[in-house]
Amino acid sequence: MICDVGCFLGAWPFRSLPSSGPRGLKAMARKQGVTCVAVSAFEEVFHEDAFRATARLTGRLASLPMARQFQVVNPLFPGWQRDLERGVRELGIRGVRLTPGYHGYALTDPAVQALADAAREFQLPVAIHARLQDERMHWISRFPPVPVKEAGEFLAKTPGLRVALLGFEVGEAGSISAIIKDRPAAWVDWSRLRCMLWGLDRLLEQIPAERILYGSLWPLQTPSAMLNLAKVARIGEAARKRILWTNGIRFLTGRGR
Amino acid sequence: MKKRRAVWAGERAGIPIAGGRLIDLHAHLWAGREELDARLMLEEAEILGAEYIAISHLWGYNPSPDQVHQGNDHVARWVKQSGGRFRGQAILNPRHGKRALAELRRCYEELGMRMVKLWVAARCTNPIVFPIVERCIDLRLPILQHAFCKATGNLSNESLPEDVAELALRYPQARFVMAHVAGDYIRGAWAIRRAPNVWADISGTYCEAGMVETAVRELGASRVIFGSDNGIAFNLGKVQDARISDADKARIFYRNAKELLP
Repeated sequence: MICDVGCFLGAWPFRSLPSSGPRGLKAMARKQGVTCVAVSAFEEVFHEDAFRATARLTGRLASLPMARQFQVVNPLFPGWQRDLERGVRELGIRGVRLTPGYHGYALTDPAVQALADAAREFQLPVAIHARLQDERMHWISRFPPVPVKEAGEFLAKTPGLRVALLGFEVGEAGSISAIIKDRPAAWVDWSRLRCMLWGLDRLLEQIPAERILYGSLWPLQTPSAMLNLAKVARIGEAARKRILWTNGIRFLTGRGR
Repeated sequence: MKKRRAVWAGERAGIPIAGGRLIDLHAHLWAGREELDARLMLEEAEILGAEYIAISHLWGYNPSPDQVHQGNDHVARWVKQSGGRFRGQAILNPRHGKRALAELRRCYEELGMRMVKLWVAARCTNPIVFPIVERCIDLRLPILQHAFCKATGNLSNESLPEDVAELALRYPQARFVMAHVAGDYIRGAWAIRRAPNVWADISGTYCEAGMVETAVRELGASRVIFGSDNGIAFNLGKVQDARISDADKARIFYRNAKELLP
């Protein structure tokens, strides 16, 4: 069983993807053994009328019982509070996703604190994407990645909030380890490992298995690349289960040890 | 007595590798950590059943003649110790002029290397690169040429995919492997379409979906090569998840590299 906290549906504005619809998601989940997946829509990131994209995504996920919808929220946009409340009450939203580099805010912005408070009130976990794509390869536009320091300040100001830090570079693992060490309910993924022999093993030397979860970034990335690292990792089955399943479920539901 | 069935590449790790055979044509020993890199690579190659990994040495962007010499010696030593799991690629710095050609000769004649690696010491359209290419044609050695196209800005002497195409068209008898499909794989594949003597390796990037499909569509599967840039298991996933035929995957995993570096 695998829990994937980092999936999207819809059209990526900068290049064609081999597959990015509900059927593709279903096929990917079947192939990889994913039985629980947190999903958002790219249109929520790139469209100004994001809530319409959120509502459309709810419809698209109706045939996917394994999916838990995460609403992408831009805390600088007027009326986000109402959109989030509608998301929770009308659409059954199960989490919040932040893409600061694409919406032009810092995690230290007071608006983000207000959003964190709202998420806590609704008991929603928050996934923060440092980046969605390698910034070296962003065609036409540039989107700055989230600095680890900002993520650290955010974590320090939001005790009790369940947070997943996704898409940070493996070279930042040391600093990430430091900011989550004494902060319960904070996890990181390994979607940015590359050019590193036994990459997951080496990440685990810096960050304990209790703090690592799986986010594939499908359909932008190929999940097998990340899952192969888990397959060959020289770790026990208990640790493998923890990073592929237990930690993700804990992040999504707040339950489990 | 019952004959033991051969173990296919990937089988031990539960990773499906179409065709069951694997070659990694792009990996490095980094200066100062040669032994660690080599040992980790050998462990991975053993578990994944790779026939061989082609390795070169990287010291810095513009290594001195001594550094190049020592780096190639490191590679040769590990090739010897690897029991056939490593093949050596000669790293050369085109800025060394005749010394670079002498180093190529040493790598070929004394160290048995049958492929050349060029990184970022000189852009590949710089005429100082040409004598190396000409000698590689004479010796029938393929060249692994680094290329990347970064939205955030390239290094000053870093080759673009258009540069690789230009060099390949200038020397149609030479054979080049353009590394990383140049990072921006769409531009990379488009740029080298017109140069049939350029293959593209899929190493070194994040695992962007669509990279392998794009390379196969634009270049044909016979011009796409598996490389890892250190880390086979991760890079296998790019091909595993690609929407291409198993026959094409098998070509990428093994046959194309085997034809270039038997």
